[in-house]
Amino acid sequence: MKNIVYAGLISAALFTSCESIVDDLNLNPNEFTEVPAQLVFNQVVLNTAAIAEAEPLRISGMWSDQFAGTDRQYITQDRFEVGAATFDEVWEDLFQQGISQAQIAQEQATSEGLGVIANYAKLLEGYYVAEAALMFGDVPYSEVNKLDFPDPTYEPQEQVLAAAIGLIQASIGGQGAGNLVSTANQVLTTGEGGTTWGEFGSALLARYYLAQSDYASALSAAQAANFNDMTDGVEIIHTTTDFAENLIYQFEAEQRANYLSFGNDSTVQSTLYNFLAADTPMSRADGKTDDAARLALFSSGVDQGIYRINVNDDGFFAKDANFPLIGYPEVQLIIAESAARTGDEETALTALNNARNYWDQLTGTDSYDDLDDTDLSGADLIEAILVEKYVSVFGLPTFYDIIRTDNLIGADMDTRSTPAERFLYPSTEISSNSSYPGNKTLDDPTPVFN
Amino acid sequence: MKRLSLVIAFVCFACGIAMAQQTVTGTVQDSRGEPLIGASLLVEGTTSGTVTDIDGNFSIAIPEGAENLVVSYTGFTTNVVSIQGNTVLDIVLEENAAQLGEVVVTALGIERRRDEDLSSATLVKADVLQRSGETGVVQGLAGKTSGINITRNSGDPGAGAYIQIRGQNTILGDASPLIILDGVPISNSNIGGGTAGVVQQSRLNDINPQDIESITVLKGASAAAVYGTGAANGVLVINTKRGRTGGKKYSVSAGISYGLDEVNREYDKQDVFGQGSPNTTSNFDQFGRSVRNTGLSWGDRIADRSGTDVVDTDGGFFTGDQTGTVYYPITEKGDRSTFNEVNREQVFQTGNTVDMNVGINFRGDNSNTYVSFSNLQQEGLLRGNSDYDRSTIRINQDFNMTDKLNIRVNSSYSGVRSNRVQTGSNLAGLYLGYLRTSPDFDNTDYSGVYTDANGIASEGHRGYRNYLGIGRPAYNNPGWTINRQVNPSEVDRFLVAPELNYDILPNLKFTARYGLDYYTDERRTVFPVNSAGDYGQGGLFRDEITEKTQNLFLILTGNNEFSDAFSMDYTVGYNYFDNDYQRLSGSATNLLVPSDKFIIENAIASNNGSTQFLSRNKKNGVFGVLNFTVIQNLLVEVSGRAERTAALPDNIFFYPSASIGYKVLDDDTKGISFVKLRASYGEVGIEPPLYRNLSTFVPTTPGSGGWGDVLDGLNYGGSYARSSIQGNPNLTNEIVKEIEFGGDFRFLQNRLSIGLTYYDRVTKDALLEVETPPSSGFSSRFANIAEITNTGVEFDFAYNLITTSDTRWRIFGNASHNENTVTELPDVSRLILNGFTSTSSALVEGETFAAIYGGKYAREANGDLSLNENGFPFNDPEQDVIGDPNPDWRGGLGSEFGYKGISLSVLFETAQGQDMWNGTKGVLNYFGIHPNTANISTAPSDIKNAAGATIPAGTQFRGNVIDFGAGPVAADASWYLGNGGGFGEIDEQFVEDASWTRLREVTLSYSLPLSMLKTVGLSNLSVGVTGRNLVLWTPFEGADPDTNLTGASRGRGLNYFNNPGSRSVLFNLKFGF
Repeated sequence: MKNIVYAGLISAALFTSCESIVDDLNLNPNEFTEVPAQLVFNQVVLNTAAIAEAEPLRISGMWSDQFAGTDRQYITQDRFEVGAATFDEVWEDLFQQGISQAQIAQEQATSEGLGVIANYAKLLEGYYVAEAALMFGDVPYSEVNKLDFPDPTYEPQEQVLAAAIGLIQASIGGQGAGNLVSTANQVLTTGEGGTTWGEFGSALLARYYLAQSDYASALSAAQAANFNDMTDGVEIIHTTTDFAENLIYQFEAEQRANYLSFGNDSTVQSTLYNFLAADTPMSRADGKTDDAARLALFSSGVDQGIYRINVNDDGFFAKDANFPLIGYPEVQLIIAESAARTGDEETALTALNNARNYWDQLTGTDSYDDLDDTDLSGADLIEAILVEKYVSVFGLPTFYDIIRTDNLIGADMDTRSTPAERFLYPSTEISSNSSYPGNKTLDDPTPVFN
Repeated sequence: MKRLSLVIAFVCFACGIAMAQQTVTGTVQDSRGEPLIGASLLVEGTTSGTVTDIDGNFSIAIPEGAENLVVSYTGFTTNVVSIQGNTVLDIVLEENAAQLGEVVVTALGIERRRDEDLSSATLVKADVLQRSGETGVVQGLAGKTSGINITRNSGDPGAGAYIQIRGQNTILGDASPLIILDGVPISNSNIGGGTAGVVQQSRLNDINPQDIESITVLKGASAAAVYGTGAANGVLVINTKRGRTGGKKYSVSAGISYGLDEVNREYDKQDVFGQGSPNTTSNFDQFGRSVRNTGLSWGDRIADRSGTDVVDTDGGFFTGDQTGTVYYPITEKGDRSTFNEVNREQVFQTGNTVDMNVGINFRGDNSNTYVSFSNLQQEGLLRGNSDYDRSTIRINQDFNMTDKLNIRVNSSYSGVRSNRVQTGSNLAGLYLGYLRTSPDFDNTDYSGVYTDANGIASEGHRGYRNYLGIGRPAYNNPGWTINRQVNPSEVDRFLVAPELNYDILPNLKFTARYGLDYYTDERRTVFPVNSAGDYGQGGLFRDEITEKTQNLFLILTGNNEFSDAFSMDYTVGYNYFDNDYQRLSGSATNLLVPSDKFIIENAIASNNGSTQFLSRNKKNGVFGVLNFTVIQNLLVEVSGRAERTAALPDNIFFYPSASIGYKVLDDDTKGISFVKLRASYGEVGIEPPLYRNLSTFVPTTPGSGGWGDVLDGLNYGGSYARSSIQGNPNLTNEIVKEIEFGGDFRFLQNRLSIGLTYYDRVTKDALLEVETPPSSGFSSRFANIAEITNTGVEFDFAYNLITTSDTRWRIFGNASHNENTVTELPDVSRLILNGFTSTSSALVEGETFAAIYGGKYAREANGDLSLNENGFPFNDPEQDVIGDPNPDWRGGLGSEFGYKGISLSVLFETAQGQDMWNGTKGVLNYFGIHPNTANISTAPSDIKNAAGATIPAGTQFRGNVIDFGAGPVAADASWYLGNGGGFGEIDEQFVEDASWTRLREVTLSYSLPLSMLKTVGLSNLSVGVTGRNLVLWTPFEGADPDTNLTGASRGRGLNYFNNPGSRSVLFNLKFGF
């Protein structure tokens, strides 16, 4: 029995004396627990591509019928046969990768004395919040990224959008708003005319006022954006380096060939293709409008039975083609539509012609003659503006137009007769948020657009 | 009992009780004349005793008046020998057939008679393991004992296997059992296991199966409690062979085997329709249009073609490297040839395995040595770069330095060279490109030169998605996958385990045991320029993995006998564990020089990358085991371990266990020969993984990660985000508590033995990365909130039908039923373990562990399918559980028959009541490859297709007429390309019954009689043939369901272009001298 006691004592002695063996090992050698605000801000800027240029663009593009889904899951997505899980990644990119990081960047930049970066992060927070509200309707905002609220509640869409607009407005009046958008990051660029962070904010405000059908505010915000030069705008930089390439290029040329296109040969083409092609019933070609160069820029023609996206070196979606986060044509066409709807058709026509001429400048052609009040007025003018925007601006802004105008331009809604009113809430929120308000369907309208 | 007497003998010896009046010397041998070392001799009626030495010799002092010596040895019948008038005794003990083999090895490596063990442990001996001829140790266990579930990752050479004992107990902790090799835990890493990449080898396959003496499977928590954390999934105790302690001074045994492997189950492919697009809105009777380079095989009917391709010879052309054939652009497809068989031949072959091994035993005066060498070379059943070459050396050395001091050193080296093939959901994967290839496309020429209209030539990769080899196709040509892409790996592994045993007192022994397990695993991947997928401009990847696991055990074992009726064995020990894991990865993409040469600088700086992962873990614990024997029949064991771990350095966790057993009956002359009832309770734990205590910042690559189009922050000045996973400083250990009841029975003079065990185990505070609303700022957090239960019954039996000197016939079997349920999973409706967004393996409260989870049909309240206006079903927007990958029960049934030198053994294994997602089939439906999609049906009336078009009555169309509940509809391409195919949202339809029964092994061997061998100087020679997996019965279509897409990970039940399984025939020759 003594032996046991001795053995026990010896073991216990070893055990206690070696306590320090296990100390201080649970410190992660692979990841940082803090990083400079600048690096988090870089994420906030770069992540805009995940919203504007990636999956949300493609789904909204298919649901507006700018694109067609011609392979695999995109066939079903194009037919609106989607599940909640389809939107998990989009939601995460907005809330976890977007809004939360923008808030972290602001907090950290402020504590590091980097007021300019904090202000830019605020603007982008506004961007993510607004886009989230427009895509999904009622969404959480004030309880987002707050440790005290593990299950953030959903707030009315209009209220969230107003909060987003507030953030952007504050940023426009904040530190460093007069600097070009290329300041403090290596993601965004602008042309010779040069767009500042403040002007970028105004342009975004214009997009969001338009979505709310607040045409007067949209007009003044769009004009304040000061996109007078065709090179004005905010673009995400792409190069030929791996994983710096244009995301549509990566999707089509590297990852998911044929998924996204302008439709199947000889069966159904996308509405965008039908507008731009010269020989289709929907073609808008006339004496003043020749879309051939623009179509060639967007589509490289038929191959493997589908109208392909032009990812060639000369294509709109070329490997190193920058992507407009918000571009000259969009802002001009916001001006055009807002002016037309507020009775200023002269301004509207000027802006519409500016937008059309943008493509001539881009393709080096002279395909578009200026339109005047003998060509278009009233409802026709508004429709022509919307069509022009439809064939100029890919993705979410156009999808918002389709919902807002109840598909005024008559894009083919494929298996539906009316536009999808929203994206579905993601399965991650259904699964884990006790404040989840219940499922919505694609038929449930959101207040802002109705 | 033996140990007790041993102890008594020692006590007497040490105390030097010298009352002797007479000394008896002699030897103890078995019936073949082999000396028995450590046989116990006890003077009857006294406490005087001794044990035999290394040569079986003994010398014992006999007190006055003593009459008999009681001689005992494990596995042999105890003999009572009269001393009367003898001073020299040569004692022969007979083997006790009932007891032989009925030994188990405890968690601390101590051998114990099965009859005295209180756990449900089972021991599988070397010959039974090796009969399968598997390259891996664990695969050879399949079907041979209850309670263990072994699933192969694939049929690739050296591929690992998933081992599960009594179901899954943890979500984040290690998924595999603890492996104890010669008393020391070793690494069983399976690194890899996503939905793409290559099937990596298992580190357990590094061990040469021929070196193994036995594997004991410790299933219950009580048996494993001395290991505390790490033992929650059970323990496999592997003992290797040791040098012989008696008999000839040296002996050699050697063997060579040659095996042939082939694919055991394949998907059928249609050969009626060619590559192309379908007609889904009109012209249904023309089926489809021939289109080059499309992924689909929904084209024209091949038989309707003109007979010859019309080609354009004026422009560019491709010259194939493999056959020299020149391919021109096809302007009209006319050729009626089909190539399914040619394309199959390009990929599959009969693989072969050559395994050579030699083992040498040497017995010195004070030492024993076992040395073995082996080399195994396996050429996979896939052609090209799929092979496995393993060489091993083992030296197990025992030194008896003095009577009290013994040192043993076990050491081994394994060198494994292997080539792997890309698999799974992977554009550069083998099966994906192979199975999707259209029937009218010949894959033979996969590389070559494209010469354009201007005469400018460039290297190209030709596949059915790029028939002219201009650049690269969307999917690899399988020929490219297996011949051009290389994925070599090189493993060097050293295991060294010195051990010192010192008898402090006759009844108190000190053991110091150290174990070092060190390996480097170097993996390379070469995607040559023009590979499909991410690395079209070439990619080189190199991973250097090193893992060093060290263990130190300091153990005191002893015993005390308090009275005849009450004795106690005890073990007290200390264990230090140290694991150091490092992975360093380098890569080059967009290669500058378009070469396959592995020069990792071959890219501009921004396309050169490196990453690393480090982890250092330590644990330190004390443990104790007390065994009480009360009046020989009542056995009690209590054990415990107190432990500190690096993840929770401030806490001490204690894992107790207690077992009780009662031998109701032990009389081998009776019809009911033996009855032992046992019950135990044990706790083991799982420590939280390291580095989960704090939230961190991680580099980001924004974009659509799921599709692969992303921007790397490094290209934009670096980007970091606070991780989507929330750290939690308040984590604690998961505790697995188990209660177990069982009985061991033998009937008919020990000829029939039956073991029965019921267990109920629960994991409390199961740790998981629980989903949180992304709107909270985190997508998940770590929390100890789940509860998992496993309850089950295990049954083993063996029946010796015939046991005569010439003939032996034994049948044996086992069955296990386990219910693995996630009983609590608060805060979330599901937790995805592994898989795809569409279909995954997930946890859902109240459902079985790793349930198959995915899209299902939208249904009405009464359960009928909801149908759309065209009469087709559609998907429910929310996913749910759609299958259970866990079998209701598993079992094995075997027979061993021997007549003189001939032996025949057969083993059937079955797993019933499990589901698997046949993702491959769904996708083959989509592509128009599955034979069902090539049916030609006649519209019985005007019927709609899924696109809403009407197919007029009487029209022949490609597809099927199905009635989902609203009358017949046409399931044509528009259905299969949508929700009727594998890329739709209704995954439920592709979940199939994956029950199987197989002829796991059948072996016929012949041992030549000794009389014939003596003349050539051999002591044994046998020849044999083994068939493995020869027959498979399963309703699962197209593949052997004994596979898993995500390897040895927790995610189960997914099949998506997994590389196929195999069946094998092995011939072997064994001899010794």
